[in-house]
Amino acid sequence: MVWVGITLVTFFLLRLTGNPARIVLGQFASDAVIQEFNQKHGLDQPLLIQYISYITNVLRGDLGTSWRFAEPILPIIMERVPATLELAFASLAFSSFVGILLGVLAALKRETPFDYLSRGLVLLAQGIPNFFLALLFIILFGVILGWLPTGGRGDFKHLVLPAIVLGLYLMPLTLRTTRGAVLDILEQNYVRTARGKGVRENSVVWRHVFRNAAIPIVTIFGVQIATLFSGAIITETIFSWPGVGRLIVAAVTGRDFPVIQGIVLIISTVVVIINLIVDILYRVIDPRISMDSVYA
Amino acid sequence: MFRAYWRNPGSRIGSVIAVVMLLLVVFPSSWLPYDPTIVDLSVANEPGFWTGNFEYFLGTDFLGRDMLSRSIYGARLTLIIGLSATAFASILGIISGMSSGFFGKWVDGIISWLIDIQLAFPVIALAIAIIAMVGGSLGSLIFVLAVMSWAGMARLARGQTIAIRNEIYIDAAMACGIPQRRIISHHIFPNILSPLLAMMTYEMARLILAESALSFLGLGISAPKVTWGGMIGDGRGYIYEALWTAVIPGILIALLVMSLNFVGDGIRDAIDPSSWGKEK
Repeated sequence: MVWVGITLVTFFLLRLTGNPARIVLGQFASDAVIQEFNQKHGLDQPLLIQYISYITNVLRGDLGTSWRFAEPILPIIMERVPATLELAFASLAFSSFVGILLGVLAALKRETPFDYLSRGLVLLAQGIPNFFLALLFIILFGVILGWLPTGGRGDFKHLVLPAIVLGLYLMPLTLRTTRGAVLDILEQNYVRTARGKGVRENSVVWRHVFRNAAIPIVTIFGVQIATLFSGAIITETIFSWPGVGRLIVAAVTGRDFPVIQGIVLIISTVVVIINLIVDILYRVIDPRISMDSVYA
Repeated sequence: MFRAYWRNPGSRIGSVIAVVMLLLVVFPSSWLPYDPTIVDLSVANEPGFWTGNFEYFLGTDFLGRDMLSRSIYGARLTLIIGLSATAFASILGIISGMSSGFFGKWVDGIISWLIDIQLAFPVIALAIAIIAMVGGSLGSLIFVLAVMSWAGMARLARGQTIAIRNEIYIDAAMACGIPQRRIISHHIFPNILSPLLAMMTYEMARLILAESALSFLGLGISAPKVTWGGMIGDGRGYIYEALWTAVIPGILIALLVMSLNFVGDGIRDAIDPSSWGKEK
């Protein structure tokens, strides 16, 4: 159902101004040229017909043709997906690892300098605009120190800065959620019982506490995916990373509306799918949760 | 509750900084040391007080415009956009959230559906797409930003409303024959206000960051109007010879966002009963 809504929005996105032809062809284009454009792209048919043909095409895998490249859109997008996936995995790995580790430790060592330090880190990561941070990193590591390349995609060295920048964008939420969840659980009776039984502290933390803290963390994971794409758009642009994010910015400057539409549709579909997977994962982690209560 | 808020050193600092910055909105143009829009290439990319230059306190940018004046001038637009977008998003979100939570059934069905849709979209992608269509005017930017964030407020308002809806005093009010409109405005709204206020400050911080990202990418307000994000974008091409043109607006944004986050944290801690009495 949500997906239907998404297709509706992306469909109407293109027709928001009422006359896309005018935007592409300019103010001085004659009416005849506009007419020809509309006919060529099927924009002169009734909206419902347009929507139906749009949906049927999408379901067949045809996302239309790029106005700029005159090529089918889906292959253009798929070409750039691996790059974005690479960046996504790297930054998620970084943000999850750092966020969860620091979150658990901060909760265990509550109110110690360590706790304040990690909360300070969260504050900075949330407050500093991530494109600004990217610039600073490029200046520091790319220009002044010369350790890492300043852009483009290549070997592992090229991945480091973009992944860290994007990871820092995502990390604060993971860290705060982990810390909060662990704090809540540490007060639970079963933790006290486990400690009373003489279970080793390490085991208490990772087998008892963490397993139960996993639920909110997994929830956040689903939310992060949409944020990930937003952040990726900016990160890819700054680091000239040839992914989907950079494609959409290029499409906007090039006024290639079908491509914009296609990318937005694909990204939001992916987000919906991942959130569905997260919902199912809930059940796996905690069999006590029935599917009904998830959707309560 | 206000006392609890004020006792928190974080919220004190945050509030002060936030208020100072908000006052910049009404800073009269005539007080600015220089005209922020006049181009003078003969003084382009001059450093500021750190090299002893007190004529242009924060240096100049690539077009010879005084950074201090531009920073103050840019504050105005940055904050106006942030405030209005947050206001619209809040009004829209709170009204729809409360209606959804209070009336339930099909109203809830439709509004929840809309919320889920909006939350599925990566916010910046949607913003970019919309701005590509309708152009980057002040109105469209505020509209786009508001659309981006109403769902979060709506969800919170809905959850809070549902939690309160089943309280006894609501039943009592209904039994007395008080019209629903009044119940919502007089009984429900005041009780859900506090968490909503906290969220509003967080949202404002988020929207200011989003606006600066968009302006940085060149998709926000176009020249000669200036926002801090746009200034970073301008300075991006000159990080070798004039680093301060990009760094100063960045620091300002970070300062504003962090202080707003502090304020939000302060509000949130002040209304959370489990944190009361911690000082003792």
